[in-house]
Amino acid sequence: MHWCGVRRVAAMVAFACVAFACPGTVGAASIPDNLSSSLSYKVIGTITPSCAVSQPTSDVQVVGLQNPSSDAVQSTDTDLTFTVSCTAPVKVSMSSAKGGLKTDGTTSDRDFASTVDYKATLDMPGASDALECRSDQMVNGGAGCTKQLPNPAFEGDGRIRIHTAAASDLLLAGTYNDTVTLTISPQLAGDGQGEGNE
Amino acid sequence: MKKLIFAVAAASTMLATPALADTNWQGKTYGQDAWGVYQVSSNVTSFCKFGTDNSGGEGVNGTSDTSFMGGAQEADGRFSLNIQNTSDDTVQAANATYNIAYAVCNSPFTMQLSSTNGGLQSSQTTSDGAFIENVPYDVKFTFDGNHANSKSSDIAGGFQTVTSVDEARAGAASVQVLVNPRDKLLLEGSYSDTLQARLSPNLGA
Repeated sequence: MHWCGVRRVAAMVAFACVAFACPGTVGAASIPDNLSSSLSYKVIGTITPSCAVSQPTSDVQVVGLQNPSSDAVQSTDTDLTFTVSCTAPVKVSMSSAKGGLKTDGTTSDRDFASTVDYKATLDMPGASDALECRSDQMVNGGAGCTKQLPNPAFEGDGRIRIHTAAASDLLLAGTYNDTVTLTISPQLAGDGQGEGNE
Repeated sequence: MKKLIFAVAAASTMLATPALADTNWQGKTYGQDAWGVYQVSSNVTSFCKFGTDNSGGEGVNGTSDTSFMGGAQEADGRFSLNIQNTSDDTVQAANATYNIAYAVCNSPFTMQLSSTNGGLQSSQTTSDGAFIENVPYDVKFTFDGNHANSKSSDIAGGFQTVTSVDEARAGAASVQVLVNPRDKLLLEGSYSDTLQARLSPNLGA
């Protein structure tokens, strides 16, 4: 057996051969000629693209949902405003906790609506109507209401416009409410841009 | 060794499945998400309303119409009952119905009735018990399948809750007044009363 005869063994094995006499070896041990007195490392740092959103208020009233003459649902537009800053293309999604403006009140009379559907339209700075969804599409964390935007970056004011359409349904006494969540995810890597509501 | 190779191959298949199911997003990763969360709400107050499309009708020995106070616009009206049996001058049966085409209560509510006189009160008096000074009547107040029936004597002196309904309702309503025959003589003059039917929302319900 010739330990030092194996050229591809690790350096520690080679040093072992120097410290202890190798059977069958005659004279001084040879030092590999490929050793280096310095080491170099390639260090790569990645700065994660990010987005920031600030909103002037998180509690928004829908004014005039009830037609004072007919007591039915009437057309309204309510803006959920925000300021956004993103350093990369983004994927946006809008989610609804209840799938519409919903009240806890109930009745077996179908003349009344316990849920008022709405349409949500997202305007990003430089990208009007970037995403539009019905409230019933926005449930399940907004999985049915998401889109990748091609803009390289965003900076400025935006809004989600909540639109209720006039309907013949009567409204129950109480509070109709929903929680709308806007999620903006900066893209780190990948090819191409997504299309439409995923 | 065959088992190990087989296991690795199976693991590779399982890992590949999710990527194949979502190819549009394959290869993309995302950094720090920005969130905006909004509570959106609208308050609707409680109410009960009668509509304006109301009308009287013809019953047995009686009619009703909208010619009183606010008329049809206010679901007000008038009952004209012929309660005198012309053969023996006792009280005869009479009734009429006032129709309210549309009414709404957008919360749980009560159906209430009130009679000023507790019956049809004569403008004349007598100590003779053969005559009747106050002719009682029955009231049948209906609203979208709910009923509030009462005797006039039970609703005298202010509103009485006859029926409670634990949900919002919308639909047609009506008020019927019925006089039953009685073996009593009628005094000369008019017999009258003011009857009020009310839908009252349960505040805080």
